[in-house]
Amino acid sequence: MRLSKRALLRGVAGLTGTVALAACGQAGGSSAPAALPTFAPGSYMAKIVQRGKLVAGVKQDQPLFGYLNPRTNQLEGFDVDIVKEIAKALFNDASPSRLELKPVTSASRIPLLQEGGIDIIAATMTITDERKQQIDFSDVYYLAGQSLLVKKDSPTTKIQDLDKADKTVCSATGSTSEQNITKFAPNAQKVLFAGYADCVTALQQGRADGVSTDDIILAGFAAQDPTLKLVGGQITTEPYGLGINKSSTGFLEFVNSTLRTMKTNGRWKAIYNQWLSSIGPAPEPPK
Amino acid sequence: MQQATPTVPAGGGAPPPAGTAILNNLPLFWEGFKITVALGVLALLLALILGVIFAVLRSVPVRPLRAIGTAYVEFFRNTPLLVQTFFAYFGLGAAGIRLPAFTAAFLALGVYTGAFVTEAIRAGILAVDRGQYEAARSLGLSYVKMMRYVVLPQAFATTVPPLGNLAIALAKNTSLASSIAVADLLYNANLINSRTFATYEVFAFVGLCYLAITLPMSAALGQIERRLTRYR
Repeated sequence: MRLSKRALLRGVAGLTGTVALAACGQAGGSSAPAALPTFAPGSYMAKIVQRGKLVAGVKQDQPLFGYLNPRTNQLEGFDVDIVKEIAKALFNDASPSRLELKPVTSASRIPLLQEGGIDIIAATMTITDERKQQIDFSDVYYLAGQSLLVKKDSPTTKIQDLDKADKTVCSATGSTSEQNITKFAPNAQKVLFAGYADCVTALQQGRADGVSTDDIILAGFAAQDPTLKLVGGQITTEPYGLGINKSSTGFLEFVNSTLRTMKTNGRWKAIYNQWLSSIGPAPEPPK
Repeated sequence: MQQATPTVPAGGGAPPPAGTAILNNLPLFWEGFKITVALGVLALLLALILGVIFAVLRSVPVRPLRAIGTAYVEFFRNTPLLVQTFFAYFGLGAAGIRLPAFTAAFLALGVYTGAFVTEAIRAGILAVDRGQYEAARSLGLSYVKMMRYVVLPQAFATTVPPLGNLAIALAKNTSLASSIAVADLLYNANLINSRTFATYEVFAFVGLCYLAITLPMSAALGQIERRLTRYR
């Protein structure tokens, strides 16, 4: 097998990053601020360290995953905590100044990453072959599934019940969810908004018969509005991945090794328990 | 009725050649184009009607009527169109008035632009020379006859350039309807972009589509201006 120069460079950068990470892990026991890890020059991690902060694209209207808490005016959630871990690994420093969170939408996240406005996407993004043409994905960091949100008094039990021309299903522009609605309920009318919050408003006002997207996203809304319920279980498996620009040398390997560390040392479960315990007990981290 | 879905080439492998996303989805662009034009025409008609009504209201020597006109203009001119659109769709919806998206969009756009049209027409009326009013009065014309035969025709010449600008602005403002899920040009462009990721091509093409609407309007406006000022 002939190794391309690019793959070789990536491997070396990743290896250097991992070695630096391990070295820092051993050295970081003192109370004084630990030294910044050093990465191979030319690698994307070196660029981030030089800049001084990691810029991550997260949702701001997705309860439990990426949500702007109106009381604290801070972005918080599962996705936010995952990128906090990556920033901590990059800078060996958990201070909030090392991480800048940029709100993104389903439609804007990939273009923003491709233009260099953000270093990484952590925005409830499903891994698909189509998207792999545009960006790189990390290992799966969460396994969700698409489901359906309806009003509590609705007779609908699954999305196929809405496969009629007089029924309306709502989702977000640019999401895999809206493509799946065409697959499972091709005759239904589709209404697409910029964000799922608008969809939930439409459902509450009777403009839509159901909102379909990943069950975790729907559960967040159902938690806020007791007149809504989830039905139909999971109709698809939605593996969530972090999005990384294809030209970010070495960064993919770095993020994956950070994720692996989190999954084995219990940190992943701790983050799950903090945000998603209302869904159920923490499962084993996805491979 | 099954809603149109964008055509996407089979996944995997190198990205398709430039322009494929546009060519494969021309029918969807056309549907959006038609909705945009329909939205623009209806909203413009509403704006012109409201503009004439409120311009007259603001000009008559009756204070309560003038106050109504001023309230309309100040409120709808000074709030963002996007806010008005969301209010027409979601806001009224929460109050029990469920307008379909297209209706909410063209109403919001018409009422918003109407406030600007009112001011444009009123400016035209004010621009007519004081001497014309005095001459009309001295000929014994009533208020209504004076407005109809002397003032308004002259006001027209002054009003046309600003009205033309407002019409062009309205044509571009129709794109805000996409935020409440009206299947206009921008909404369909977003849909196609989300399937094909050919972002630059899709939005460059959509820009050209909007130019195809506004450039002829500009040209027509230029012609009208030339005709009106021929004898100045």
